[in-house]
Amino acid sequence: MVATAISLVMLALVPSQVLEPKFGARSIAFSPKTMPVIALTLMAILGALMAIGPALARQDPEPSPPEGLPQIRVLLPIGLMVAFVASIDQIGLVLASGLCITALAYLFGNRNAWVIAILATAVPGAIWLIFARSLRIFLPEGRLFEGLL
Amino acid sequence: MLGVDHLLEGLALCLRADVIGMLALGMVLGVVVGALPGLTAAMAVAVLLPISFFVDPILSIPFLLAITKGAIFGGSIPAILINTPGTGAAAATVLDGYPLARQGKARKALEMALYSSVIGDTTSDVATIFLAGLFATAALLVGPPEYFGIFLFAFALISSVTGNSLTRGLFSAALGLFLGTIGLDPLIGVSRFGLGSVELSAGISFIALIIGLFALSELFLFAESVIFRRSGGDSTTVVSTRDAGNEPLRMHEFRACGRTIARSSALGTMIGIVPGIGQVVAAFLSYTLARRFSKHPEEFGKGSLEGVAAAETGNNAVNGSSLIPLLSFGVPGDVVTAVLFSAFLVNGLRPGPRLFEDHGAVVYAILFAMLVSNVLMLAFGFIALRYVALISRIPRQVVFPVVAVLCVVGAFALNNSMFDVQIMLFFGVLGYLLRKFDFPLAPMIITFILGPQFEASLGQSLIIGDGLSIFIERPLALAFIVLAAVAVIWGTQRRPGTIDSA
Repeated sequence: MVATAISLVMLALVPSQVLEPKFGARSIAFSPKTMPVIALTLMAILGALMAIGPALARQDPEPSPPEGLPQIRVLLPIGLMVAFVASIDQIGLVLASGLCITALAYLFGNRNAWVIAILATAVPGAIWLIFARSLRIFLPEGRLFEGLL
Repeated sequence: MLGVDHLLEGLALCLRADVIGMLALGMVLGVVVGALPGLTAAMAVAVLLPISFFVDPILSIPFLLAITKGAIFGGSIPAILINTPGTGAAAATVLDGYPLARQGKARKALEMALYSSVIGDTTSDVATIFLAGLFATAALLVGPPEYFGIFLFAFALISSVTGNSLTRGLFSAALGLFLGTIGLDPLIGVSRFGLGSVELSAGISFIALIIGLFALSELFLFAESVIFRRSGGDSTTVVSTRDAGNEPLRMHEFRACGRTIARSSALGTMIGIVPGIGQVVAAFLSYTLARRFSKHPEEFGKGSLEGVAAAETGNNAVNGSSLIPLLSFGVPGDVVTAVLFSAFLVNGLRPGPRLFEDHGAVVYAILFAMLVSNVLMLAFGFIALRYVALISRIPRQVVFPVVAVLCVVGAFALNNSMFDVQIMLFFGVLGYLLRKFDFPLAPMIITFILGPQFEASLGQSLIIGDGLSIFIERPLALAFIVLAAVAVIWGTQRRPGTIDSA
């Protein structure tokens, strides 16, 4: 039902989010709204089918997914990744990467300080060498360290 | 168009030292990724795709192909040694590989897996070299209505055969189609679903989407399984080749599997040409046929070298021929070829019939490089067999934090855009949820990538034919539309399985 609800909300947004062309409308076969409407309608119908299909067919409800239902603890790595991405602007990609590796390795149960330390320095170092030095790609330096790297 | 000069030029290009170097690097990375349970070929190519932005396509595309080939073979290593397929494609290898290891014949099983993988791959690559050009010539003769039919058929087939439920497969395809409409309309250039964001008005970055869906979601799934669980993670016992027998494969044992290898090579190659079916089906079909035609069917499941040969030949034989629909029609058949599609585009090469005309030498160089990578797989695999157990011992607690950082760098690198990183994060969470609720990801990826072309071909067809009647007047288009309907009906009859090309 969540899928159907989201699809219906998006369908309601179509008129405001897809504007009709001002020029050249006669040269096209269908409106730019057509394909999003088709896709979202399909999603809404299929979402409803998934929700009420087993009941209509008088079958047992669909079994739990093989992977099991989402667990609340997954919010920890998701939160960590969000914090990692948010911190890049402030402290730069290299330092943020080191901190992210440390936190994730600890979160995943790695308690070997040497392994964590090596990973947290070698990986960001390699990224900096390969991307910033060799490939000349701009990597965010962070407002705190602007101009230093 | 398909001149000998293109072939010869391609052959010369693929033998360049830098190409061979990249192939070797890709092969090593692929085998390592494949040997680590939980890391997939799709994830590896998604994370390493950004490399293709900065190097020549002659280097980057063979590199990605070598990763895939290496990973598909590498998946057999933990399947044989620890009873856990490194990739989904190696699921059938477990059936006989692990019993062989327990009988003290691990080295025999690993060598059989290596040789049959190389033969399956090579057969498929040779077929691709000969057939891709012919298919491309045929593709030049078809117009927008036929392309619309082909796209529709590909969407229907992929939705029907991947995952455990047709409804979820179709939902995934519809979601991909919707996501593909975000950005500029392909017919007239109107912005759709920009939500007030300049970046979103340009559309969703495929790189960010695929890294999020495949690599980051995998990380979240892994995290969920280990956080707060001291016994979780990598507690598997690895059987080393020394412990499980070091006797090499004998020539008569290999010869006894000759027919099985030949049959599985042909079968895998044919399966690869059809979009969406993939390595898992090829491996299990080859295994089933091998058992049916074997002189010793009673040995299957208890430690049959023929079983290992069938599964490994079948899954590897898909690798080459899965490029035929991509190169000839511009239709990626699975997640890996969808990533390759993107790598081609980034390098200014649009997969499809014109590719052979405009960049014939490059295409043949890529195809010949696949053959070179098989030689490298044989050489590297032979040396590595003694040490492969060590690869399977690398804990994922070490690998996944590195993957997390590479996801962010990969999403950022193409456009130097933090917006793409945020999109990647969003799709990481979405991918996690979709996988938790058993939605296959392959239909979503394929419809996302082909959606704009699908819409354009429909629009062009309606203009050419002045209405829907054009799809009835053009027999080939009609045939594909009927086939699409048949695929959906077949999907409703299919028993739930574990087929997922991702």
